[in-house]
Amino acid sequence: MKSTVGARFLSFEQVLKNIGLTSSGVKVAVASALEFLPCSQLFMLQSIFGKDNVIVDPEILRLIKYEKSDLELAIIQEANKIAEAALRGMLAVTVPGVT
Amino acid sequence: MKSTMMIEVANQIIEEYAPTINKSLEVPREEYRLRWRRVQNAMADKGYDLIYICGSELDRSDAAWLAGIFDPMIERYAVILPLDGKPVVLAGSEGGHILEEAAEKSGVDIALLREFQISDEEYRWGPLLKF
Repeated sequence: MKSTVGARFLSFEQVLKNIGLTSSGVKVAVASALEFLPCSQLFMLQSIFGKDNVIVDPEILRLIKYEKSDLELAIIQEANKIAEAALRGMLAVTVPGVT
Repeated sequence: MKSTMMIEVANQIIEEYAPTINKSLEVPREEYRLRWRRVQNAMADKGYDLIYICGSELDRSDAAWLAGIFDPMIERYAVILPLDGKPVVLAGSEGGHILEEAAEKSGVDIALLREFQISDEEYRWGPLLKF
């Protein structure tokens, strides 16, 4: 195990360079819902790409994400079993006065 | 109810459900690649060069779907996806450390940015999986 390796921080511009982009002329879609986006991140994007190049567009991801594959549905089914077990456990130990 | 009885009830429920749960199911890298391609096609249609997604304890589903990462409950994080290529998770030094295993499974990259670090905490960086 390495003992003292400092965190290797990059700038946003360096990350862009690594994926073959620059901050100039790049049109960015913010695909998260605006109510959850920290204003510090919005300001960061606007300062890097320019205000006009940052577009809030949650629909672009939402419409694709909501169409589930068979595998996703199967995983959700298993997750439901776990949730059901947790709910039954909660009901089993809940008595008046328990908060 | 006494705590010993609670534990007994919990154990009974676990014993009943555990054999019925298929733990082998997981989203393979191929499905993540398909998801990226579908998003990139939609980006091309709308003229976007980059998608930006934020993640936090309030909204974790977008980043989980696109990059397979879960909420580290430490720092906020983000995912960017260019028109070509794979996503990059943007994280602070502690959150990035926690997300490493999940990123390995989905095949995304992680970049550490000071903008995602809480205050002035600078944690040492070491691959968690190699400890």
